[in-house]
Amino acid sequence: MTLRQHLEEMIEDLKKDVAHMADLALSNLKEGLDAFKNSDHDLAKQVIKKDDEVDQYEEEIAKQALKIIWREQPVASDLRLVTGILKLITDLERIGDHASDIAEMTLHLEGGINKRVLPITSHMAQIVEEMVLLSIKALVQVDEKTAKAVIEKDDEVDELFQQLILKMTTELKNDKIDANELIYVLMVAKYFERVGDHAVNIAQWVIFIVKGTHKNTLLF
Amino acid sequence: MTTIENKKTFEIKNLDLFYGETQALKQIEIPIYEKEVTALIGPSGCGKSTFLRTLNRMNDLVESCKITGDVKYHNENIYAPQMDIIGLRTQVGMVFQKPNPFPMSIYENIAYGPKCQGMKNKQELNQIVEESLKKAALWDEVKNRLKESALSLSGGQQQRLCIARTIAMKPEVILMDEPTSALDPVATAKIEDLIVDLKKDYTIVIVTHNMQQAARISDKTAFFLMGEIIEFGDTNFIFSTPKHKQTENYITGRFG
Repeated sequence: MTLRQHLEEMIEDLKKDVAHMADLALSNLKEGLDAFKNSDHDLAKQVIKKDDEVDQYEEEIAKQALKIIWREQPVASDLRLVTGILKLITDLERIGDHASDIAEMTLHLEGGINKRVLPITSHMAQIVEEMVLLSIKALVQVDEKTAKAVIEKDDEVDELFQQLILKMTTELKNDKIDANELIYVLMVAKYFERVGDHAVNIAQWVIFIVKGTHKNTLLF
Repeated sequence: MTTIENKKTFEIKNLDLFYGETQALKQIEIPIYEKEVTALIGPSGCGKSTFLRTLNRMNDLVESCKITGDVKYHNENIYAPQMDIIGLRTQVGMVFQKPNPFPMSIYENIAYGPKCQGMKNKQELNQIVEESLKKAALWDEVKNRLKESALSLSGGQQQRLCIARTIAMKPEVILMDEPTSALDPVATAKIEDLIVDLKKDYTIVIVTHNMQQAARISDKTAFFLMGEIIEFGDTNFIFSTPKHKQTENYITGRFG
């Protein structure tokens, strides 16, 4: 194997690890929501514990990226990819944190949940999951078009979040929701909205990897 | 942000160069900016050293060499018949890959050029020797042994001596053909520091096979491939977001 092939293999491994990290963060996010919906404290505790694995992935990927930098002194597309990954794993790590945050809300909320507000939250969860998956696909394929699709999708999440606020205000006015419950449901929804933002950030780093520009600013 | 473009010291247009029937340079068109470091990179045999030597007409020494097109130095075509070639080579000095000090003392190596130009005043010569060695960051290491043979110096010191020898002629441009390829990393670092420092006073064109060196010390980079310039631009962009696939492939080590 030539040194160039070795570098390409290291970079491919780095991408695979990012994809695994994203899978883990998303699986935690799903379980976090399940725990919240069903007030399942055991599952919530498991999700909180599993966040450590996401954090470990971040450290491992950072180590590998730094190793590529000191060993290979990458330039051009190699440099953009390795540094882009170093930046975007912070967003993935935060997505993992939000899964844990959502699980944490379960532990605070005693009793059942107002079922009328859950479909909107679930819908938000479904869209942000798609966004994260799409942003990782954009990374693996180094594809600007897919990255842009992620950014566009974020409007749907914001729209749903606004709908939820409206719905909850109405429920509150009509005394159909407990104020304590409202706070936690709103926080969970906010976490999902933030996950959407992190997917957008990842997509923006993918665009940097493709073009060297981040939010329309040339970084070189 | 607006940037003020530097003055062009050289402007090369439609430059073709043949060694006999073989075309070594094809339609070269680049500017060389004043008081900048321009790095020439590319695989062996791509024409970068040949191009470097067109800038002070060193290719004249190759009998079968034929050149067409423009190499303008301050708007004057250096291949025009009336060109003063000796004067040109004084203005556009050269440092080679292998340090090549003359087999004489350190002092005489530096004083040799000015003496050939007719300088006899001992005091003036002393001053030039000291100034040139200082500019080449060698003075402190040799000031107490100026009478010793230049061949007693280390490789890195010899190369800085050759740079000092070039500086003694008060050039405007210094051409360097892989000046650090025969040196260890410490001596290389000293030469690189020196190049960055010399940029304040001189225009420098350097051929290098060391990509990191080009990235570290140059302002502009030209990528040569098979006698053509594939890409020329700010070093920043060449090493981060090159426009051409061939540049990308070369600097990332996919070929070459």
